[in-house]
Amino acid sequence: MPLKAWIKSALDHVVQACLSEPDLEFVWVGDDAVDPLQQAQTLNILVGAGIKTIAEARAELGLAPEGKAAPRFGKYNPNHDERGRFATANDAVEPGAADAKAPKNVQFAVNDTARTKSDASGAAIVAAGPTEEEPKLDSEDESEGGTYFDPQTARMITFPPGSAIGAGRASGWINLRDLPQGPTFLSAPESDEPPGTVAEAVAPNGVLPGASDRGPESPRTMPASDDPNRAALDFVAKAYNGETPVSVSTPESLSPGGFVALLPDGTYITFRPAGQASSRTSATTATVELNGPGINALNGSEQLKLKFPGK
Amino acid sequence: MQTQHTVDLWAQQRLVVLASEDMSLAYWSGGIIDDVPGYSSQRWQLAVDMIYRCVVSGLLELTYPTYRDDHDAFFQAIRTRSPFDQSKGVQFDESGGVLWNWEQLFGTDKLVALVGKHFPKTDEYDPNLNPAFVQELREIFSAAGVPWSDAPLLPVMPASAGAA
Repeated sequence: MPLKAWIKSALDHVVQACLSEPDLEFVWVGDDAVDPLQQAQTLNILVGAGIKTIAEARAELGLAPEGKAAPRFGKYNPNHDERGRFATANDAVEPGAADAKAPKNVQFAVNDTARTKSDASGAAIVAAGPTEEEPKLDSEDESEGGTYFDPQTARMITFPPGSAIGAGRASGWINLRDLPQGPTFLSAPESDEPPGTVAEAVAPNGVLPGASDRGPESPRTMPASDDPNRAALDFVAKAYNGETPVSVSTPESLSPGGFVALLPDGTYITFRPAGQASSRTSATTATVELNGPGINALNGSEQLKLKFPGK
Repeated sequence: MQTQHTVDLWAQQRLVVLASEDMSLAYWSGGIIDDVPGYSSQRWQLAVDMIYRCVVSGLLELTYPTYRDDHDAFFQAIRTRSPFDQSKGVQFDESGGVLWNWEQLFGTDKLVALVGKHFPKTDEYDPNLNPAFVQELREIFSAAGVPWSDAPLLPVMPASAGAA
């Protein structure tokens, strides 16, 4: 940090003095290292909800898989080391964790490596990580509850107030409370159907969802609802069709809550919460865009943009 | 020529929609155009050139500030990162698919005025080409120094060609 501060100071001088632009300053962007408390709360939520096991949580922190050890959480900076090395000396990391290899008993969608990366634009890619056993985790935290949506699995989980899940925002999860119009309750979508394509899910028999009196190049409008974000995320869950995205990215400009997911059939699904567009789009309208060979073929070779207006 | 006509109509349809909607960059990589197959480098090139023309001529603007405040970086990004990129698990700044699906464009007041002039508001959808609209569009492009042309205006540089 001192080095970054010095660089900023030097560049500010160049910009303001040498270039005679006193109103401009140099700003670092994308420096969104994970807060240790948030990281701990994130893992607490995921383990407590059965999404991750304790072993997976430990692996994500770079800790060796010690099944009976009490869970411990420490600072992890994904910007620095893909192997899970910790960024600072005061982290709660066991000696030797810096040399931890990718966990063996955890399946990941991308290169079998646990990764949460951020780029210079502040966007993150989160790799998928299915669970393998039911976790149990004692927690001292008591939260005020909340509903979370996981873009990786399309699971929605609601924790009542007082749940021992921690109160922080899960990294990679969307706390719908953060969205402009958060839902009051959402249930996790369950389906006995085998996984399929996005097109099969959203356009059975080739019939596109929503309504439009224009050509395929125009967006289609879904029924108005009291909670457009919830309606849109419910649709996203349906569009996943039992599949797990091969990658999910959360560009900073889509936060909080927006994301772009790439499904195994090559379809990109983009969710934009209400209020994250220009004035050309109503601030109470959430949107979902589907763009892939399968769905586009049903829509005149156009991507399918769906608008979820509020009532 | 039939092909030119089709591209005109394709561009017209997109701009009419963008006068009232935010649409992703990928919107410009879709649609049917004779002789310009989908999911091809030619289609990528056409998308880049049309976006470039429309932004430079002040018809379209980027919704999000990341690139709205740095058009040069934006143009460099779209010419080096393909909209048809299916890279999995790469960092965000390396994925063309994410960029083209995430970033949005919307019509400026200039575009709204242009569309309003040639497409008076009506409940009826007209899918046909409006020659007067296309003619004025071309004049706007020429005046902005980005004239209509079949030649690449901002050549794409696929990473596989060593230009990433």
